[in-house]
Amino acid sequence: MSNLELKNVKAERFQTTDKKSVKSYISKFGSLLGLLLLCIALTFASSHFLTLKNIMNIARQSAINSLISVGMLLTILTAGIDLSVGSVLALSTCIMGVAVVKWGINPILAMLMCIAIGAFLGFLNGVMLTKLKLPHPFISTLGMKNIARGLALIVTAASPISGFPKAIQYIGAGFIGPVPVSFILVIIVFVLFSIFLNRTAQGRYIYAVGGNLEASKLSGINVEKTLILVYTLCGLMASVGGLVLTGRVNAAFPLAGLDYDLDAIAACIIGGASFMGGSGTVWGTLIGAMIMAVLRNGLNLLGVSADLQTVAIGAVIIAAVYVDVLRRQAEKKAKTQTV
Amino acid sequence: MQPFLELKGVSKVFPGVRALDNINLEILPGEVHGLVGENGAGKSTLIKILTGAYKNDAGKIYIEGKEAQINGPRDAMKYGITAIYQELNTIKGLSVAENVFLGREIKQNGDRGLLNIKEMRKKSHELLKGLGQDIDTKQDVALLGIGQQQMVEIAKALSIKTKLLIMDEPTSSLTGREVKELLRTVRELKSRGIAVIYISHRLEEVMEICDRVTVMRDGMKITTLPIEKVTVDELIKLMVGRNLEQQFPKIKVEIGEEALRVENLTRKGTFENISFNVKKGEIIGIAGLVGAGRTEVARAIFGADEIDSGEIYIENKKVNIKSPKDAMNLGIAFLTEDRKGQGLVLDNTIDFNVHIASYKKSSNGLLLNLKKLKETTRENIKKLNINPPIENFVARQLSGGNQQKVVIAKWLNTNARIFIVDEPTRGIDVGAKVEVYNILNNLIKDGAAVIMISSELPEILGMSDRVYVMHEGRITAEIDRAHATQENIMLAATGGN
Amino acid sequence: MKKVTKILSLMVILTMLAVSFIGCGKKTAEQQTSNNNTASNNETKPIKIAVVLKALNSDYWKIVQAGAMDAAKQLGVEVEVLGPNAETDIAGQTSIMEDQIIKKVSALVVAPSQPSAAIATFDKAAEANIPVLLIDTNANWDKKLSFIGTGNYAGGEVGGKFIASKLQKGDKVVIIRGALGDGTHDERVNGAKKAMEDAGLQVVAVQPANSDRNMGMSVMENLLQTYPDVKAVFCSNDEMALGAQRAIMQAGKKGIITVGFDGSPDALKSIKAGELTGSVAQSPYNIGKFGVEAAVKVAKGEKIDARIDTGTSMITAENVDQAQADLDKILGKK
Repeated sequence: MSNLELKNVKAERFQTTDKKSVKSYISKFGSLLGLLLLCIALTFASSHFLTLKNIMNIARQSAINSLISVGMLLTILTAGIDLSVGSVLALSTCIMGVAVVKWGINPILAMLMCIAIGAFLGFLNGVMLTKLKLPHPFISTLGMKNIARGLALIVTAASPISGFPKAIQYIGAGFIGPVPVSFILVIIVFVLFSIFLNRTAQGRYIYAVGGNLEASKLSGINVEKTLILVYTLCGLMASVGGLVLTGRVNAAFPLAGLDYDLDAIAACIIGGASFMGGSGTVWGTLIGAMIMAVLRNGLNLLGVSADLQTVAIGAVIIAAVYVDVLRRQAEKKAKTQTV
Repeated sequence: MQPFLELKGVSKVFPGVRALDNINLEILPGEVHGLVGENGAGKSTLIKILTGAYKNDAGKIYIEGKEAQINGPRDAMKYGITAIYQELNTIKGLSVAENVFLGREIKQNGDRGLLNIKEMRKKSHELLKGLGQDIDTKQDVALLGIGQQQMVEIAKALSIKTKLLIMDEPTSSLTGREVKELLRTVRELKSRGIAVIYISHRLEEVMEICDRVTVMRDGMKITTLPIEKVTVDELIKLMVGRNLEQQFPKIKVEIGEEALRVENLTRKGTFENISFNVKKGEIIGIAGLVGAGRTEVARAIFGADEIDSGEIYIENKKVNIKSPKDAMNLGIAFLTEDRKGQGLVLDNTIDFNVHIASYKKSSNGLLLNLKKLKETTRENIKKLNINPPIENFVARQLSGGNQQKVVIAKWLNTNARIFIVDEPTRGIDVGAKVEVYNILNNLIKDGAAVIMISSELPEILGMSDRVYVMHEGRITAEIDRAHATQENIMLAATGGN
Repeated sequence: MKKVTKILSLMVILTMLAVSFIGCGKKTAEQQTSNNNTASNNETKPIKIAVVLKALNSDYWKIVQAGAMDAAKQLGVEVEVLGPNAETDIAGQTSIMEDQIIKKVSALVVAPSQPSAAIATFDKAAEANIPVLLIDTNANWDKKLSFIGTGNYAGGEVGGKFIASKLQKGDKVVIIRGALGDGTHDERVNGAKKAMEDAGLQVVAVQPANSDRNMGMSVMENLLQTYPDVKAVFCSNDEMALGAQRAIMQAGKKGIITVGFDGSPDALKSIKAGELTGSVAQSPYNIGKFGVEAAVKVAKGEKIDARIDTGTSMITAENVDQAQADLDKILGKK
């Protein structure tokens, strides 16, 4: 009896921390705050920044990286990485380009084919990791990065393919009212991924596998299946990003997406995902991708010289992650102090 | 005698918690001073203040009579204070000599130049020899046993002229022989005039090695007593602040049908011809020394490792278990001995951890019912008395006992009927141990079967209905509760007849 | 599972075998040539020329390649055209040149990705008595036998002058350029900028888009925000120009002059469709062809000019059909 009383007293000592203070919100939405600050600064710096048209520009310009990043996020959640997304994007869209422009295949069918190819290449990444037991996804996806790029050059004979039908262009270049179709697609995809990660068993397993592989195995989670699914979805999202890119520029080209892997990783990390796996959110990743797009847009608007732009982007990546490190430290401190 | 260390009114407050409240403490040179208390009593906060990880809010610290400011680990080192933790800090891949001189390597000419590896080897060898250890200092520390690695850490402490060595749960992962060796070394340190603060949940060890013992509870010092004036039972009473009816609240329930039986289970090189059974409403203990193959048998039954031959029967039906998932579908739960490495996703919340084994079950259709999940978590927290009772609290920040309760909750949520629990109370405090035993009691009351692997003989004797003893991959004895004694179990565990 | 591993390993082994066979075959052939090879005896030695380009995978470089191969056919010499996978792969290009030096080719014809970075390799070639001719992009290296090309600066000027001829004094123009540190783009931009400024136009921005179509589009979208009254955009390659043109089209702007550089097939298509205004064409075919012809002369010990001009032209809606027909002929279509 006395035991119970003692524990209840102890329990009360912790009650205060459960209340959500303003501070905890700030720490929770650190990257969003960063995005807002960046936007406010740019609004003052350039009168062209805060206009409907420019905002829609940013929405379009961030769409491709956002779509790829949400796939990348899954791999990072499992403490992995996918270096092949740019090449997978190129190969899947180039095959689609050949199919549509050269063979005249139905565009809807071709888009589905594009996504299927992306998913298949991702599936292969997953299989190489789990079944061939390659030591780290760095290896399997680095291999795929080169293979897919090479194949993209082969299928297109190294030339860009242009002249896509309206249906394909619609995804990357169409509008519904003032809003770009590509951005609507981003929102739909992110809502779906948010539901998947937070509200399905398989989604929770992704966090579990990244947080503690051994514990996940011993909790009856099919780790291999989870990893293969993660890489498949990552490849699939790369090709969805490719669809938008193809529609946007009305061309598929074998050298598309050369640095997209790094941009996607940067978006995830800026958005608060951890390379150690097990932590990171879909919405954080969207904010990360937005920060990168806003930054590039802002630097263009301000007419910052080309060399300084490169420096600025690098500095912001480091600063954003550093702010997140500080935030985590503060959070950790706040938590240890309650124990 | 002038105390080496003197604390006067030391306090530390964290928002909402008084972690240390007006602590007065003296440590004499050459004294082995026990520090006991439940998890959360304030022991680790105290250590962190002494090693410079935290700064006290109030009170003063005196070292050798002079007021001291310990602002960081470097200061602690300067004052001659070193700590050795339960989790070793040796760096695998580096040699013994390199580990001893890590950060203070001996160079060939003064401060610059190449490493003088010869000199480092010679000196570390001397230090280890002084501790009665004949270890090849060229060896990678990873090749040493945990006990020997600990010796390397002690040698490292000696190499920096430590005057106060803090040992935090030093024996929690050592074998019986290694514990003896360690205690002998502690006596050797004492004879050199080095003060030792010895923190352990194993009160028998505290009784054996310490000169005085300080009991802490809820951030306060309860008392300091010479060891001759106190018994284990009294210590427990002081620690938990209440009279423990019984350390092992064993209950007897009606024993039912056979729940699980294994026959001639063999995994080459690890265990052979293992046969045993467990019935509904029964706790069987599996005793043995570390490395006897007990955990390996449990892993094999749970489908985590393959077996070469043998059969498993559940309720008299032969089953084929290929993966943990198969085992779970058959109603088996497996509480691993390493809860941090194999039981929990440490950086995620209580809410997440209690569900990871049962998410599939809680989906209605495709989507999870988040509301219901939260409810289950709340029930778990209430039923198992998990503290703090906050669903979104991160598992890493919980005390050992509460972490263990979270792992237990994870398995309770799977509706398992056969529980394999491996070292269920390792490294958790007395109060939490009793809570774990009561949870096991509730399980058998409900007709579940429990297989308990434990290296703590009192626990085996206190909680088991029957005991199996393993030695070098074989079962060497089956003893029922009435006949089990420390002696006959130890005999079987060491391979005697 | 095991089956998959087996098949995979078999594939790997087969590929390795195939590669090593090809490698061996090549080597023996080369050893023979080098055996016959003495520096003084030019007549008996079969002429073998290596053409190292910045990349092989764009239309522009493919046309250079076509020119080089046509020259080889006409002159009856052996020509190998090589290049890394991307124009930015400077190290890859260096390795290729080093391999050719080891193979002791009769002459090296190089379009250096990064002229200053390539000089050390050129020196190695000179040490091995292999003559080096530069095409497309010039380098500041005193032992080069000739530079065959238009000069990107001159090309930029042509583009700039074209834009100026369509606009009034004081009109605003922007420039979108390729990666920083690429001398080709520096020269093209500088040429265009000078020509436009001399004509009294106002160059309000120079922004990078890394030669990428998507990025060219993004940059143009952003520039249109800041400078809605911009009258023309000069892009230092066609990919960026096609992106910029798409941004202009989507923004619903009309009459903004968009000029690219290279005269690539995609650009020609766009000009024909009345979208892109024009593209500066450098006659890549002539660059390849003249390069090999000059190299053969050098290998035979004949004198060549230190500067060979391959001509620059402006492709617009007026002459695009002719340009298209020439291009089709070169690339062997139709």
